[in-house]
Amino acid sequence: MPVDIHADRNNEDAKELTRLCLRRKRGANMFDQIFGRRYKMTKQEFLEGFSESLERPKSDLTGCEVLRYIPGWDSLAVVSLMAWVDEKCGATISPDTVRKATTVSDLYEAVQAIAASR
Amino acid sequence: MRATIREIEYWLPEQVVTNADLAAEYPEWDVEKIANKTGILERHVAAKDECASDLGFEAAKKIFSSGRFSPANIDYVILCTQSPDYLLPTTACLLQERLGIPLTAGAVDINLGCSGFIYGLGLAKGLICSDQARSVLLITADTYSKFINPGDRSVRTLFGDAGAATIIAANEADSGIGDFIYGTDGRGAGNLIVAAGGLRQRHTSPACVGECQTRSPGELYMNGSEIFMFALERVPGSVQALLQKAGKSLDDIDLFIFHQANRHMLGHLQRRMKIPDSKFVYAMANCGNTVSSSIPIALKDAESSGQLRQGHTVMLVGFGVGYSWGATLVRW
Repeated sequence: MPVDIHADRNNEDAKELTRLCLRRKRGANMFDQIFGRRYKMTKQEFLEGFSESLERPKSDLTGCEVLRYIPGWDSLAVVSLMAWVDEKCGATISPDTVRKATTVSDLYEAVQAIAASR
Repeated sequence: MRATIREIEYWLPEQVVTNADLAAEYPEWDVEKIANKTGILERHVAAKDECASDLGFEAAKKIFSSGRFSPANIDYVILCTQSPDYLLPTTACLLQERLGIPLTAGAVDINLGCSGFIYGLGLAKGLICSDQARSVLLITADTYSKFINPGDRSVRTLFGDAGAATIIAANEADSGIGDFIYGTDGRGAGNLIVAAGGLRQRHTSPACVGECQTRSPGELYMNGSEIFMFALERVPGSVQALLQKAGKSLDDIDLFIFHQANRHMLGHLQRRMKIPDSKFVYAMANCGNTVSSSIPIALKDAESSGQLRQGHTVMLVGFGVGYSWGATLVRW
């Protein structure tokens, strides 16, 4: 069985990367708190809002779903999601942005980008 | 000289389409979900031979037959409609004759939708305050149902036909129609449109399929999410701009009457602007979105229910097709 001689090294790199990410995230959160920047929405929160827009339970969504195959994802659901995002983030997601999204996660990322740009 | 709203009456056609009717016709539509979102239980639909002038005529007749105001005193007629009886002549001229309004009266049609009542009030105030008229009959009337493909869920469930008549008269007292703000953004023209039937595309081609809906260019197309976005972008700012112009705060307003687009949109705008329930009017449940008649219908209903009382300062906000928007303050 071949041995990956870089495995340990890779593992250490990954740990270091995680540490750096966490430190950056903590730093960013502190920055947000100090300067009163908008709170970032978690993916779980978004999935709850998305489910609310569809009027269905959230438990069965992971974010990987392709929007156009989701039952109930129609013009009414889009408008509901727009209202929910506006209420939560104080920012409006445009119908054009919604149209460009393929998966639920794409929408989440779009919402994050909108919230961050405010 | 001030201009005051003296009378309002409205008329809804006899034929009613309930949510149960729609569910029976289109079992695949989730009518309950639609009703929860729109807040609309039923809408009235004009008969085949019933046009905008007929709805406006019936509404105005309610005022004149009550004896509260005589047609002989009307010296200007403004008809706001997007579904006129004819391309020409001006439909307001037909109403002058049918209502027995003097030959010395002016009459004009204006083509606006959901903002039309505000623009009509603005024109009426201008005519009165510049001494061109003393009593203006403003009629708003539309039969959007004639533009709607029966299978188009996005508009069939929403719009209802109606006519409303409002008399605006000269008044020396310290009440009446106050400041206005207006706005227009023609970039939104394609998001609420009947593309054929005018002279750019006179004749309509057979129905085409687009966005899961079937409609022809001669039928009403609405991009609901773009319209929602437009409302979010323009309505709160318009309210603030009018308050600033009038030197008032949100607390100084006793009642807010917005164009009755649908309950979901209005509910969101109300929450966003933190307007208390007691100061906000919903009047679409039994007539749907009646375009330029929605504000006068809401005014009349709010007065009948006691929500609108004498002495109230009311903010009226119209917004929609065009895009066009406007707002005014009225001392009731």
